[in-house]
Amino acid sequence: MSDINIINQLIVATAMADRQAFARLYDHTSSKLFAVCLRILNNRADAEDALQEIYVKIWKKSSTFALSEHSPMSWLVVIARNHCIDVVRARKPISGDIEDTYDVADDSPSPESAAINRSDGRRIDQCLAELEKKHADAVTAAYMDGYSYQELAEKYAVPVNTMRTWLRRSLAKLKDCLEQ
Amino acid sequence: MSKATQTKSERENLCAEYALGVLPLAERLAFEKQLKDDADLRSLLEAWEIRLAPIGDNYKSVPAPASILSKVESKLFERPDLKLSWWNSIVLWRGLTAGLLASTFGLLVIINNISSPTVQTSPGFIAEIKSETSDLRVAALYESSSQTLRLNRISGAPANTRAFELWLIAGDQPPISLGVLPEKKEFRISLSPELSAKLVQNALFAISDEPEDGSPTGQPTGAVLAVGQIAKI
Repeated sequence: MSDINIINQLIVATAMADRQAFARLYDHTSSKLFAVCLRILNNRADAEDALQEIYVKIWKKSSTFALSEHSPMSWLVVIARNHCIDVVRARKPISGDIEDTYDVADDSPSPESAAINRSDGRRIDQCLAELEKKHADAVTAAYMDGYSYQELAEKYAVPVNTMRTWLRRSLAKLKDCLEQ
Repeated sequence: MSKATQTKSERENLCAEYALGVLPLAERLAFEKQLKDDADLRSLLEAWEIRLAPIGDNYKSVPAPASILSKVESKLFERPDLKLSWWNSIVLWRGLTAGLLASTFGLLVIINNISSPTVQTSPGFIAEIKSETSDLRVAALYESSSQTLRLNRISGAPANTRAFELWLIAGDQPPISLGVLPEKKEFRISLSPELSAKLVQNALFAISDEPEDGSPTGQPTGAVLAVGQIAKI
């Protein structure tokens, strides 16, 4: 049985209040979701707290999984990302020392955009590669690191409204490309 | 902002931005609030989540401490307030029984009990099968003497062309179908001795969303909508 099928069945069994299946679901998926937490929260203690809350949510929401069109892993990652982004947005407002925390915009591609530029044939990567490079990088950084418009604007040294325009246009182009 | 005042492209943009995660907290919260009663917005959002999901393949796994699972389990299953939750408390169940029976099954059962020579023994099991996300609520009462399961759908109705299917889950065994719930609110199911034997303390009833004729596979195929634990009365 493929991993996807196993995770699928474990989520369905969790929805039937099967605690053993829930524990197996944790074993199969927690390393991926922990990576999401660490990446977005950038702090191990916060990531561990978040992971706890995320699995509580997974237990409670498991009955809604069967109604969604998501693949099992993407359903789990959405729960994890949403939780972490809510946590990170609720932290104290970003102070002026953002330059100390994040690299200022530079031209070297992030590991993910480097992967995209190599284009291993995945449709999303092909579509991202059709965008202007810094726009594709901003989309990927927003998704992977959970950056807000504000943070991205500072990272790329552009006004927030400019960043919003970049990303809205990029997302619309991505959608068109993915639907072709 | 409400559905009426938003253009299609504004709604599309909001879903894309929420799925990407770039909105500030206040806008995220406002969007989440709007999602609750806007099914069209939920499906637009889901389409965006699915579109962007492949980017998440780039997250490289990092082993998570196993201790987190036990913390999650104690939060979910062993919190004192959950232990004392009303369906787990036999004492409370006994107290509630009279009221619940009177309100959901009329006085029939009580009359049965009075006329029954075995009134001193446990008359059966009771459960409230309840959804946490909708108004679906079904009361179930099993009478040992007649091996009959009486059900009363107090609230909730299946979606168009869909049906509610009732399942019995005992221990680690796969769910056993007890059939599709009929349209009428109050009805009975006669259980075979084999099925009756599976009605044990802590077994669960569950209701799933299924095609009109019931699950084609013999196992739940749609979402589990409501669950209720069985308690002795």
